[in-house]
Amino acid sequence: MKMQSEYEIRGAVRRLVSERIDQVSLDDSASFLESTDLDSMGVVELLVAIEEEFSVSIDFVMIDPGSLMSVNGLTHHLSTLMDASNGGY
Amino acid sequence: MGTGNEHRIVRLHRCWRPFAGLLGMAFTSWESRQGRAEAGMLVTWGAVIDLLARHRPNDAAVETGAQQTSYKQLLDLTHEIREQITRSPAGAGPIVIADDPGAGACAAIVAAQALGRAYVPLSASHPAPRIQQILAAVEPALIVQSDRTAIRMAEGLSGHYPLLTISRQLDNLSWARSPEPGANSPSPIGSDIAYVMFTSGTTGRPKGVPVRAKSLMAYLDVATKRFGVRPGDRASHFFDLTFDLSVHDVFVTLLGGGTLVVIPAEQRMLPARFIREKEISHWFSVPSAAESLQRVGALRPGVFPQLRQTLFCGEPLRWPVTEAWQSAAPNSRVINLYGPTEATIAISYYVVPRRRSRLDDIYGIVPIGRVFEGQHGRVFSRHEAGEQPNRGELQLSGSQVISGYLGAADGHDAFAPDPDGAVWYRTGDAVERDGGGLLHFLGRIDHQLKISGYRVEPAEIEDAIHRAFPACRSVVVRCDRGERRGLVAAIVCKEGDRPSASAVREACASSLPPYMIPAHVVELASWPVNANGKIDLSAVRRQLEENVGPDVVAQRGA
Repeated sequence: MKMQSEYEIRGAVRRLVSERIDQVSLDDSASFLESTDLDSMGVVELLVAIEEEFSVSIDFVMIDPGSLMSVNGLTHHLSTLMDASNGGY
Repeated sequence: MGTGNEHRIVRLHRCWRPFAGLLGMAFTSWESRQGRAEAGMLVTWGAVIDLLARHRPNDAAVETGAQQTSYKQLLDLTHEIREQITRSPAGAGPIVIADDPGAGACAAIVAAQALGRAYVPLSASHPAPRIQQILAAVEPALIVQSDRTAIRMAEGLSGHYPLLTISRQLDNLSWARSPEPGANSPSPIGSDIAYVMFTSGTTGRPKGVPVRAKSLMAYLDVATKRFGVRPGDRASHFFDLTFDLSVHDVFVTLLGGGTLVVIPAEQRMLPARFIREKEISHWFSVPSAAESLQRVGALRPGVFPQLRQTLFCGEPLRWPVTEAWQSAAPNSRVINLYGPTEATIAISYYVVPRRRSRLDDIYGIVPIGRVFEGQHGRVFSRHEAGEQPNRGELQLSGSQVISGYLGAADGHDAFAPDPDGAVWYRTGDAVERDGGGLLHFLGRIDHQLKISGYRVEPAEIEDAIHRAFPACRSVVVRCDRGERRGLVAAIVCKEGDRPSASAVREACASSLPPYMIPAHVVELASWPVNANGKIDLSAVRRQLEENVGPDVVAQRGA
């Protein structure tokens, strides 16, 4: 896996989100369900696309999906995941 | 007491016998005059909550996040709502409930039942014009809202109907708009109706389905006996109140003395952590929720050891996800329910065996099983050349089936009267009855679509698009393969008048609920037509699924 800075992660997350919504701009802290036209199935599509883009597997048995419902939440979780998977190398 | 209260009666089944002492009830009438099948004790629905509140006052009735509401608190709130209504000059019509699922909504629903009134749920996610259409159609006596949803729904709830607000902490009731004596118009909804649900209609307006208290009692009779909960059980509250499966959540759980645990909206489609953390014992959702979990790899063997019962309803249930669920929840039985809103929540069921037999698997879909005892189903075949006699449209009859829609213009062809007087509801679902008598769902015979369990009439969306863009014609289909999934609107426009994809979606959002907004809008150069010169829907769907090119209209709108 390629090392990515939080800045790069945030940029990629923003891009994947903006491809899926009609809104021209979206606050990084805004909830997808409340502030965009994504419905719950649309959010699942987004999360699957993010797993593919970053080649990571999000553990939805342990993670509260509510914590992944914003650009900030996703960026934070992905940074932690990728830090952990890069650890020791 | 309002008229109609005599309908609000439920039968407590044998499974209640262990709690007889606890409830302080004389259960002698269990041994019924009419034999074992009818055995049970008839009590009013309000009395059950009264009893639970008296004898298990501190048991949790409803849990929303960190907020727990005991049976005692639920009963107190119910009494206060009833008092506010009976002491006011509000009319005798139905009670509209404009709130998210939770203790406040449950109390308002129980209050409506105890007063012998119908309740009509509204969702904060629906646009204001739709809410206004529903209010005008039902002429409510009053609206109960919560201060959680008041701001989001302010536009839809504007007008003259009395408006009672429940505070977030459930400790205060206040009139946001007070009832005026003699101000209310008569409602078309009688006191024999328990609730009215609105579904997508082909006329471009939502279609009202009034369900009688008698039908609800017939459903609860079967559901509490076969799929019921008991004190100590923790049942999911997955469904929005505007979806009739929520009626099961609320009534079956509270009648059984269990705890109703409300799932937050953002966890609804990926509920693994919710089920584990909240120690859910009884799960009920659309199959989509299980499909999503399977898609992200969360249905690992044994992840839901505490689940004891799982119900699925609202969409075809596929075998692969069912088997993955069975292995994720090894201690849970899994039951597939089927039923249109017009037949009261669910009217057939199939208990999924641990091992799939070849006979139960037609096209990879779990059977919808057998029609509930006391209700009737028939497979109506036109016996046209080449048609198998065991295949046809599923038609339903019995006490769970409604006698008609709210609007006079709706559903003339939905009911098929027999010469002998029985009225059969035409479900529009194609089924096959196998040699063992099990019913299998094959698909729709008309154009209706299902999106996450919600019924969608493409005509209603096409109408909304046409009204906003008169120069365009659209066809809405559901795509299950390829890049574009879900609801897709294909549009063909006259030269020079092309809306952007987001403009089309915005136009839909201004009058339709979120689940009816197309995920994609694709412009076609022309319509593919069949031999009769009609638009070939399957060819449209194929083009949308196979064409990997960009959404032309979407690009233009960007």
